Amino acid sequence: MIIQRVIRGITGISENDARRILTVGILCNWWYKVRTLPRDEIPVRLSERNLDWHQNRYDDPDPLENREVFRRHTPFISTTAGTVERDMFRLTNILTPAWQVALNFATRGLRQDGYLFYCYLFIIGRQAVTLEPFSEELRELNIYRGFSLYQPQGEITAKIIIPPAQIERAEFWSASDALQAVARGLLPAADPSRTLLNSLFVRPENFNNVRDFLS
Amino acid sequence: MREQLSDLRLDLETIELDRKFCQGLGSVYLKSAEHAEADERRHTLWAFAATNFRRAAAHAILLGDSRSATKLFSEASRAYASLRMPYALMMLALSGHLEESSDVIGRIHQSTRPEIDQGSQALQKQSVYMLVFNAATMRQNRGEDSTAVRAFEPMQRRLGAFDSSPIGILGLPVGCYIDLANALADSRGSNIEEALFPFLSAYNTAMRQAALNSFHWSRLLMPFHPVEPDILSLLALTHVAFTTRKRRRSVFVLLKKYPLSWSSRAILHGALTQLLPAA
Repeated sequence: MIIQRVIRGITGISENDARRILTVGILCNWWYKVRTLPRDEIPVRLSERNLDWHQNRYDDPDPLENREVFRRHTPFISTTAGTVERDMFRLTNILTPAWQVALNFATRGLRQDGYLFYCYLFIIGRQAVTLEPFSEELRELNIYRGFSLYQPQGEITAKIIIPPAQIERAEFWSASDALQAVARGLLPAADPSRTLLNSLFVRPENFNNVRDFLS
Repeated sequence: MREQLSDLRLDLETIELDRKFCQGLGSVYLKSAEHAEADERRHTLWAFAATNFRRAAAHAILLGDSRSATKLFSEASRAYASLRMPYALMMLALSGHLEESSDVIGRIHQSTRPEIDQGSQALQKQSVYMLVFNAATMRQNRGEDSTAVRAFEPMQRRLGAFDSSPIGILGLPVGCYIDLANALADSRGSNIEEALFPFLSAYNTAMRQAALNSFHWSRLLMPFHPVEPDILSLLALTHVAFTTRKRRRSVFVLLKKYPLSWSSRAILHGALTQLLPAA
């Protein structure tokens, strides 16, 4: 098992919302929708079909849920680690730092402000869709077997919840500040005075095999 | 191309903002790479720069800004060449500055390779880009005597070991690239249409799959790009092969022969019209 650092970008939330997330965790949209989670439904929801819809049909009406768009009831949570393996870059010619991918999601393509949540997830190096504690890696590079258009983003998909203990901090990012920074030849950065540290965070260094995200 | 963005369900403002951002980040990372002390870190920063320039260039084509696009592809080419990656030649083909190829090849072949490159099979597979580039740009046909022709066969034999290995954003097998190189180097060029088919078919499938996902598609939240440089560069090199050997063939006529979706055809035709000097 590997402990993988990841970043989750969330758009359209206030500072209070971000503080609340540090307390209760990052929940999947399905949990937000039903409010009280029916635990007995989790094994049914964590299916390969739903993972495929989460990756490829996120905004489509779902025939299994009265044509409600899939994102409203997805049991999965997208995060990014960037492309971690050097050889993967030499095969795809694409290498993007995790923060850049997450920022794009958090700011709706640099059009509004957002938060980046720095977390860690547990992965086991093979597909385990039905196992709730383990997250899924999208790293396959083969159009004929599990090819994904999103694979070089280094997406790691969490399930149901990223608990508070696994969230280190939330950074506020201003889209306009980020654009202005690169225009001045500087690497964009979050405003440190608006970064929220999580007192419930448990350091992964207490465990083995911590693998960093790409920065 | 810009006028077609709404028909393609792409958001103009998002593309303009991301173009600015990627172009700026490319420059920032390039500057940071110059000051990086450790080899490993410098390589990562060059890779970030190359990726951002490549994406900004593809955005520029969507926006109809071919002048910026060629400049950005040149920047991408230089960054990939700094990484000794033959993919630099594909970016060069899109920049239109083929006269710089000996310089780019020189940088790729620099004798002092850092330790982190040693034994990388992925880097060896990258040679397939040089094979395709050489096939498209050599003035002689196979069987005739020249340095380029003499170098072709051994390179092809070495790459044969990776025939079924995937490479590029669409994960097409190295063997498909070898087939295309052979077709481009052939005196009659009669197999070019067949050799391009796997690339255009994969592109068409990827476009359809990507467009189905409206959330990611409209915001281009994916590494695959509608103006996919992996595919566009192969078409640009096919055009180069036609003009270098004075074959009276056109890549536009060739494109018409494939059963592509409206969006695939519109994007490829629009991009080639912007990039090819004779178009």
